[in-house]
Amino acid sequence: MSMGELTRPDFPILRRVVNGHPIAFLDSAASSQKPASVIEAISRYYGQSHANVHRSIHTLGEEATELYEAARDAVRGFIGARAREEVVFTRGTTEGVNMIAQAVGRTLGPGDEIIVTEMEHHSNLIPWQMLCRDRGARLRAVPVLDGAHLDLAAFDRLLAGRPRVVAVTHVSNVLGTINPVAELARKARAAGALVLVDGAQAVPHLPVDVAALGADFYVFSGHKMLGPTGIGVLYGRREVLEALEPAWGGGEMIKEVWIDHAQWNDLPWRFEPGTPPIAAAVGLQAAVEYLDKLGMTRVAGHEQALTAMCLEALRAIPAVTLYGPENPELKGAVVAFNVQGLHPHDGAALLDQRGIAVRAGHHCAQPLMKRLGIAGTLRASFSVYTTAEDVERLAAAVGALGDDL
Amino acid sequence: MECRLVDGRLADARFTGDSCAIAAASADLSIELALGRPVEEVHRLGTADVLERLEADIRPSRMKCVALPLGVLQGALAGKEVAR
Repeated sequence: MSMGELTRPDFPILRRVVNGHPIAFLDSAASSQKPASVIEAISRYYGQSHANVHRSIHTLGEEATELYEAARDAVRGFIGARAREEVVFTRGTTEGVNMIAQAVGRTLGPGDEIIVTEMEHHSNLIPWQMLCRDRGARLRAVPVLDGAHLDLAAFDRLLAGRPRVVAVTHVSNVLGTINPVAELARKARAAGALVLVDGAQAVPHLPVDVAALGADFYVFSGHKMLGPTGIGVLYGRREVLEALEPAWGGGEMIKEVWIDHAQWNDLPWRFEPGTPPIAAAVGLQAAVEYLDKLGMTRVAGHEQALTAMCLEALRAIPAVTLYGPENPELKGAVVAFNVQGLHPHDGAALLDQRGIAVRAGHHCAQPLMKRLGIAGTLRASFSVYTTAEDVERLAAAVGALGDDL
Repeated sequence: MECRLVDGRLADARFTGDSCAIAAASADLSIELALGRPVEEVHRLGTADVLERLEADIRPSRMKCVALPLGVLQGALAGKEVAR
């Protein structure tokens, strides 16, 4: 049995019938579905162990704290961080990027440069735009070549401007391109820049070892990796986090407070003001354990096979235009495409009538859409529970759309 | 959206666009609804009027596709008045 067939029964929502068809959920890059173990972990936490963390001297408070901190250790192991101090819980990728943009931003001034790429999700672009506007810094973008890959020669040239920050996505949420982030991080750090990698589309699909990648910051979301919404992770290299002033203030991020000043708490809590998403952290741990049991190398293999199959099936339909790398080995688990003469929103609505859920639109990557010269695309994306049958149904339905036109 | 006004009435209008089918249909119907009417009356038209003509089951996520063309037409007419 394939991984999709094996795991599908673990996801209660996949038993749903949508518009008279069993659901083929091909929108996992937007948000993945959740296995019963994650749903149960959250329910058990609220039913048995909930209290605020780190401050309550009573049994429930201690249990909640233990569970929350155990989730941190589970995530640390999953992403290969050297120390638990390097794992900060956030509300998601977007919060992680904003937090770092604000913290690092305090040290930036007019004329400083920040490098992004043309394939960034808005979440790894807008916070830097806002920072540049506030500090008078300059934003530069690495172009996308051939609609698929970063222009690495242009990247090298941009580094000659001694940028302060390089912010780049690990895997494009539209093209699926897997960027050579280890190489980019090595070069950028050698040029004196801090490096932030957006791992939202990587951690759910590939084995990721943040220590080996060598970026200063690596951010991702729980809800795209079988976990709940409202939790994300900011990994930061310990030396870098130690040297950084916290972005936000509040309870729990301090050691001692006077009316006019305060002493910051140790890592990682220094970057976690306020009551954290405790239940979501517990759910994330269950998600990490689920993925770990499958093995991320096997997950990547499973999804790559589906991507290859989807690319081949869609390529055979004359009305279809595909975007991103043609080689599935260079690609994450997303396939963006258009059907000639069909607006993506109409395509998605027609597929929904057959119980097939895909994403349609600009995918929060408008500069990339402008680069490709299109308003939007359809996008099918895969996860552990995706089956060959899901992909076959998509291809058949898209083929029929093409025939209708 | 291009409009021609004669004596304060919408005498002719046409649109060009790269859009989904619902927005295209709505643009067509919005023009049909508005043609011949005095400008003030066109401004009183709403999404509900277009929906009634559209006679289709529109999901909440597609309501803005329905609403956009009439809004553009009204905006164009408002701009014209301001310019005058």
